[in-house]
Amino acid sequence: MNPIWLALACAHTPQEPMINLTEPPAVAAAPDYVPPIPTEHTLSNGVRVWIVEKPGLPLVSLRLVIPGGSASDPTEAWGTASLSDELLSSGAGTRNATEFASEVERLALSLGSSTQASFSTVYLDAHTDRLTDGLALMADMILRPTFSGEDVDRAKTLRLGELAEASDDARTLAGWVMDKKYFGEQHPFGHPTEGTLKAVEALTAENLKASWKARYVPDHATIVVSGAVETTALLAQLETTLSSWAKAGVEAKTVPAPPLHTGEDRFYMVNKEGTSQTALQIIMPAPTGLDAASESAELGSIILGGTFTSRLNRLLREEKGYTYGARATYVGKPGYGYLLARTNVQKDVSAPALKDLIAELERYQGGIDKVELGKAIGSWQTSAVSSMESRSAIAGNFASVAAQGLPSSTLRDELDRAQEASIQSVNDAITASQLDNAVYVVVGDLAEIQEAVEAAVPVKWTVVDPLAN
Amino acid sequence: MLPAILVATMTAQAIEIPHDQYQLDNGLNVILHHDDSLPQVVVNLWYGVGSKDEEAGRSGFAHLFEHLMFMGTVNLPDSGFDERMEAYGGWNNAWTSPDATDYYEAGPSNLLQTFLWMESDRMRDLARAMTQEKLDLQRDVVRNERRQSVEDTPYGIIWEAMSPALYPADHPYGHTVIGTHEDLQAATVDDVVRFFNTWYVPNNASLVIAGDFDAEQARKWVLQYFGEIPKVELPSRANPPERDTPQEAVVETTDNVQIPLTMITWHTPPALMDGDAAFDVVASILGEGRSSRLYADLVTDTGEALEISAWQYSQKLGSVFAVSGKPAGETTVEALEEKLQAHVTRLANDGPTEAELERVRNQLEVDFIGGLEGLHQRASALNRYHYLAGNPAYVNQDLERYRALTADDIKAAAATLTKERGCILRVRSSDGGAK
Repeated sequence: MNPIWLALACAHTPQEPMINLTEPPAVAAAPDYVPPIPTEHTLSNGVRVWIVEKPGLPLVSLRLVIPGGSASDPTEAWGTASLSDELLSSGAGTRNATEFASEVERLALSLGSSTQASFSTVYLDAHTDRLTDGLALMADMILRPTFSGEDVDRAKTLRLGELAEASDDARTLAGWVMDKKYFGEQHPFGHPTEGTLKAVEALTAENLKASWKARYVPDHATIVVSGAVETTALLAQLETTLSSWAKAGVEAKTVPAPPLHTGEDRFYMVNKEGTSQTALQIIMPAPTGLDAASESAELGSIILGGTFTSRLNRLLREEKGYTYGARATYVGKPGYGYLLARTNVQKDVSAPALKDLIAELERYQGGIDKVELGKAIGSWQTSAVSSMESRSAIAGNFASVAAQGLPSSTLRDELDRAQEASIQSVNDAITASQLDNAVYVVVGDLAEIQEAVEAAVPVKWTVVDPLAN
Repeated sequence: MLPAILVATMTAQAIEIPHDQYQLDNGLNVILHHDDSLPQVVVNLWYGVGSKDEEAGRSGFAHLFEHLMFMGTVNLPDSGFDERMEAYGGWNNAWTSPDATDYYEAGPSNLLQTFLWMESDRMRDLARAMTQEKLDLQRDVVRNERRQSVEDTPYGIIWEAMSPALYPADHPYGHTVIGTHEDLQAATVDDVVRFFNTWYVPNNASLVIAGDFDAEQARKWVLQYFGEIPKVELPSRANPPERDTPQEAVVETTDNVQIPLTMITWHTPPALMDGDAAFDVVASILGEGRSSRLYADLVTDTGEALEISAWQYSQKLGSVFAVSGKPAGETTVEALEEKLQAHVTRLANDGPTEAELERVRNQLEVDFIGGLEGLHQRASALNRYHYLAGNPAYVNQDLERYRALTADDIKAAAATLTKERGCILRVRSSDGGAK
């Protein structure tokens, strides 16, 4: 059957109009969507509380964000904050590690911590019937962790195992080298959040406890809650549960911007024997998160590598077949911003793939078109809607906003600004990301790829050991 | 409006995903789930074909075919499927399992008609636009997916290494979804056309529309776009060959890793069949969370393992139960295997405690409810239950399988694992590390 203007509907319901099967239907205007803004409150100890009530399912998600993160690690003691955070749920209050886990799991809570470069998060996902119990356990974590020698030793052993396992992955190695070389070894972001083998080995219970004590103060903390809660009752509950958490009078810290890379020392290779693919990563400066061009930079990155039909994926996957996927990510935070392009390609095309990747980044400097801009804005809008589906996503998204010290209206404001972006504003943001200032990392089986890569991109390449120190 | 999922009390959760179900004359199953809490819509089209249906010498073909579904039709050529969708804020993806292949689109609610036109267009007419060039390109992409997810991912080889020991060579589950390079290279355009004409037919598919839409209009569009696609008689599927019993293989392999791993697997009842839920609970008691038996003993107390896990992988033709661990310090994989087996035996002998049953029930309920919070998850669940249970409304009663379980049920399930030592897979460092 070759269906051309087939009057399908006539066969079933004669009153229906004909429908065109050979051409896509017209698309009506997209529905409006306005992201919510949390209500803002402050506990008596100064902790900010943002609440997004979401009735329906009897679920509640809470995120407590604490500034610091792995950027607060003392020099050479990399991994301190992360391991310290990990230990908060390994024995707290009157319970040892197993007793604490038993209670958390008996109540079917998701309660734990995670560490990012600039902040830590304590997360609690609970059935509303168990929120009170969950809050009590969370309070034990942040106010009364035990840091017993036995728990610290076990946590270190497990972390060393995780680091060994992570180092088996070429993509992880590429990320470690990228952080070290782009931000600089002494920069707060210049080391893996999880630490290094040598640093973790040397950590002590005293280090870890001191890190917790210094960071877990209410002064700059924010609690974000989303779910089937009633605001007044929840605030009273938080007030009671955290009443003994006293202000410490510490100042908020800022992270310095990474250096601008202008010299020849921007090209690095890592040997990973036996890999069938090569990891290619290129990172370059971009507008900061507070810059007016931030949303335009984000839109640009979506066009470059944020969707399936983005430029990088289309070229390297759908035209060349070099890879399973290629992506670009813009990260804009207060004080710094960068654009990261990355892909993993089969090793025998490492050199041409790197050349194509560089050429596409150069073409990106030439600007975008109207169709691409519309697609990027549409993608942003769709993400804005779906990111408000689940309670945990809502809490997580606003926690990320709060952790950067941004206002509670940020998600709505950013969407508004994205919708107002123009080709010119995106092109201006793109020109802030120059390949001349980019850092390149290639991880693969150097015995098989190094010569070809060096011939294809004839610059001063330096082979580095990501596990050194 | 009513919330999409209604829940009563914690002690007796009443879960309901309201939906309407009907069939077109050509056999296409249609499920409509309305939820206008956000201005979005999801279309989920589930085909009842997976890697279990591949011909000999064509491992990986069902998944390769999934990639080819995005390569354009006569009406929407080349990359038009993704280009048009993304131009209006939509996105899509798909996955292939041994049992099925699932395609889904999501986006603002004004895209529903576009999604339905696109899915019907490629269901009707994909084969006419298939070319050698498209096949070659996606073959390269899939082979890179294999390199990335199997060859270069630590422990990515475990199922490829384990499958031959678990199943006879001609068993539908006897090979992995991703396939081998050799078989992927052997695929032809004729294979593609034949596979499409055989399996990508309306009577082998189920369409879920979920989200903010007008049901009457949606029904019209479904009929208009899909109604005239012809029904095709599906091939009969032979019963899978019997496996060897008792099953007690030991498979030794290496990977580019520093820490060895051991995994023990057993055959268990098919998805949703008697016994399937009990093994989910066995897995949770043994390996879910830090208070689970394996973690508390082997990681926390004795420090013999860096990591442990246990899970029931439920499938249509028969499931697999697995426990695995990575030894710590001087512990060997063989010693760790003994400990894992001992815990299974202990559960079989003594059964679970009341506290364990309470924990697992609570976790399962919260996980189940939380797992249906997203529109896409609900759409997928409706199709999954339609496929496995023949009834999407089974989603509303599935928790009952778990609530009805007693300590004796768990004990009996664990006891079946002690009748065979199972198939053991040992992954050691390719550098020749000890242990």
